[in-house]
Amino acid sequence: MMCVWVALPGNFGPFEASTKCICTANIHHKITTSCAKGNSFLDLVVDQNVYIDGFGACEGTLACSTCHVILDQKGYDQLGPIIDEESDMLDLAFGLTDMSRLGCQVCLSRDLE
Amino acid sequence: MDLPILGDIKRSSEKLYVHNCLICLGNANPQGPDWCHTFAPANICLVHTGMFLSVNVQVDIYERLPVPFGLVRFGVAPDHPEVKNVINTFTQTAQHARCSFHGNVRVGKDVTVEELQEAYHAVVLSYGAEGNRTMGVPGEDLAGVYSAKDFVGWYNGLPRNSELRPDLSCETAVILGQGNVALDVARILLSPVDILKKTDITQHALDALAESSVRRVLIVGRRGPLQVACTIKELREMVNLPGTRPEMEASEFEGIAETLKSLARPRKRLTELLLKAAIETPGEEELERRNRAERAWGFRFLRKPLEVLPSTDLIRAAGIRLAVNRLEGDGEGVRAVATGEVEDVECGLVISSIGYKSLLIDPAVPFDARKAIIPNTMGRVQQTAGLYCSGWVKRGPTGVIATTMNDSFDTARTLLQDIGKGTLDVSTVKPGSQGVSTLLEKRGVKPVSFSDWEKIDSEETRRGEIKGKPREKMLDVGEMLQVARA
Repeated sequence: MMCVWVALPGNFGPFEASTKCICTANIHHKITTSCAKGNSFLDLVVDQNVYIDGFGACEGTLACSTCHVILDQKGYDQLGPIIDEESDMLDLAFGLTDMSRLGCQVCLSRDLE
Repeated sequence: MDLPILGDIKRSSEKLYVHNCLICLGNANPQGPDWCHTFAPANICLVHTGMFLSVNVQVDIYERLPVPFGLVRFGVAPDHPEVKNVINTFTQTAQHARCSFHGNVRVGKDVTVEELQEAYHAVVLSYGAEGNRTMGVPGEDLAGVYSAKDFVGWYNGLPRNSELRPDLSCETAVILGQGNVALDVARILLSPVDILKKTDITQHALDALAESSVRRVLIVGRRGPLQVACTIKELREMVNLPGTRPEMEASEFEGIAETLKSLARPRKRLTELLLKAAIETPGEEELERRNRAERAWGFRFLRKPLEVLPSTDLIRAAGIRLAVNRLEGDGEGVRAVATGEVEDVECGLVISSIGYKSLLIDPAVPFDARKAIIPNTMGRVQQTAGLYCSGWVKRGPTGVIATTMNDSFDTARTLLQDIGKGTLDVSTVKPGSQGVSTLLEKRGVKPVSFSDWEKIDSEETRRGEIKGKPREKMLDVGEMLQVARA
């Protein structure tokens, strides 16, 4: 299970997500999801109707930082390399960490189990 | 995206639900990023209401122009269409059953804030910053000198700037300020027309830029390279702008490389890119590209405007006199101090991009003229129950959409807390938009609804399609109203 902590806009605090389960700090909403291989984390949030204020405002076009997610070491290391354009937007994210990525660029695949 | 609130409302209707609580979000003004924070509170109110309260919240939005979205429509550059995707989220909010849009209504003129307070339990002011900071120097009124606010309004179709007709017949343009707005202006001045013609830039701006003689743009700031206010995405776009090359003075970057290791990541990456463009010897391919480029841009540092110098006929700008600064202090406290030296730069176009400024829209609203914001505590307007504010008019005119969005969420949370705690009295029945409609009708003001806007939207899209553009914006309020009422 890839463990993803989401740094939410509006400071709701972290919530934990994985390809299997999502819960939020506020709503405590556990969903078991199956997600199509190759979908991004943003796709997952949208498809599963997980409501997070302002998440994915630019709809995955690398024009904002509202889908900022923080991963655990294992998850982070498994991801592909980050491109300049993603880093540029990530630079503006609240609470940036060394394990941060943009959810619209994090592609979930079976290997990330 | 289905809002979970709908399920919660059904549950809450079984509980003791008291009455309609009407909130109105006042005057989404085109010069503020109002739709992020007008809608974000609307969104969060709509979402959180069901979760936290057993009252139904109705949100009414009043906007001066017939068209919504504020700076997302009039501020975001035409070549940044992805940034405008957030309009889809706003549209969903606006179409919610308990949200209604009332365009063509000027708060402070057609209806006062006091009248809104009588009609609603709470009023949120999120009208942004419609004024701009002036340079305050002689020659500022010469032809050829514009505020970035007006220049951006011109190429983005803001009705009040449609007659700007900036003179682009000179070779050099000087922009004062080094934030993202300054870089947007530089980029639009130097972008190949072939790129611009596929955007929603206004036709008259496109035509003017196609005839433009501007070949060199200087982006001038009071302080040094470590204080530039722009962000890396915009800088990278300048570095990669086709047909252009960077031209900067290596001497202005002395000592900068040594500071890199102590910088936080965002500033470090930004400074690295700046150094690369300014002083690094380019590879063969890049060198060739630069040699072929017909247009140039560059930052100039430690320069402050003293005077715009007139042409011999004294009508237009022919140059700008700049004071040379040096830096004192370090870290956050770095200040620019005059050295006494002065430098003149020849130019025919001067654009001041030194900041926006909020204005007072209604004498009944407390206003801090020095800071140019509404005095508030966490969004609660001081000394005025039931009045809130969010966005630039609350915090000052800086920040990207995400920043202002978060700020609106904060104001909305404050407001909802006040309802929950009983600090905001929602026990009386209020007339809401019914009350305001009566007043507007008496005054001959006809609001534009969101579905009226959708007619304007369709027509603009239709006109754009013919030209291969996402839309051709209407520039005249009268025309907007005609289409809205058709």
